[in-house]
Amino acid sequence: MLDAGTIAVYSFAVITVISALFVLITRHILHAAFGLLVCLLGIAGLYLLAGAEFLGVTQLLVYAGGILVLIIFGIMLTNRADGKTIKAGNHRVIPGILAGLAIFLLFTQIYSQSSFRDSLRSTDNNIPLMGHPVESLGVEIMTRYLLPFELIAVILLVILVGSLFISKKENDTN
Amino acid sequence: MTQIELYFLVSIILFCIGIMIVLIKKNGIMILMGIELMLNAANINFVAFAMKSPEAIHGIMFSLFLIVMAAAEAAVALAIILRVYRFYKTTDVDEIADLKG
Repeated sequence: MLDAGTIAVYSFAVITVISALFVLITRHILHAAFGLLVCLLGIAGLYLLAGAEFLGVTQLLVYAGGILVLIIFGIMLTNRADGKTIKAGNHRVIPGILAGLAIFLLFTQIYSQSSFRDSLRSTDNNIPLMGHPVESLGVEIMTRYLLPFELIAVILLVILVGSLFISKKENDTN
Repeated sequence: MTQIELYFLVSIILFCIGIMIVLIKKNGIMILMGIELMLNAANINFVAFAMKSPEAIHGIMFSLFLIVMAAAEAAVALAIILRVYRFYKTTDVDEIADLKG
């Protein structure tokens, strides 16, 4: 029953949830960024164990390598360099937690009453044996998903140039 | 609990923690982290359903595009936060209230 794959899935899930809770609880913003890093690594592990290897590697590259570095840059640039520890304050704590718990109850209720629940439970092969080969992913990108692929490339370029334009200094004439 | 149900549970918990972070935290960058958590929760859901689908490649493709959009969103949001910081000298969303009547 408890083979290595199941133990790995459960431990990645526990790591993900605990580090996300750490992001919520901590008041030090840099610690929150590192908690988010651990959380994203745990999610990458979950992807790998779900048979989505390419997605797991992309998660590692883009999130852990790109977005986290961007966020830490943002923390460095938006905090005074007077050596004080950086605190992120809280407000509306009680209503926020109540709203989160309400949405949790709503989602669990939706799932427990959904029509696809039994069909998901009936098949017992949970971990795909082969996974999805990267080769078929590449073929799909270049055939059926060619237009979305090119569109998202253009969107990414436009957004990066636009964010450069937004964040440049105002008195920068050239 | 099967593996796919565990994935749903993780996804729901991450989404709720993301919403709590967005509502509770004052710092703009912390709010951005909450949004990233919520996007990741949606991605986990796509991957979980792709595990059971015969056409699993579509779910994985969708979450691949979602990751790219999340990267673009993070870049623009951080640029806006930097701009706001340069103007107001703070990233506390409670103190940015000039338009409040």
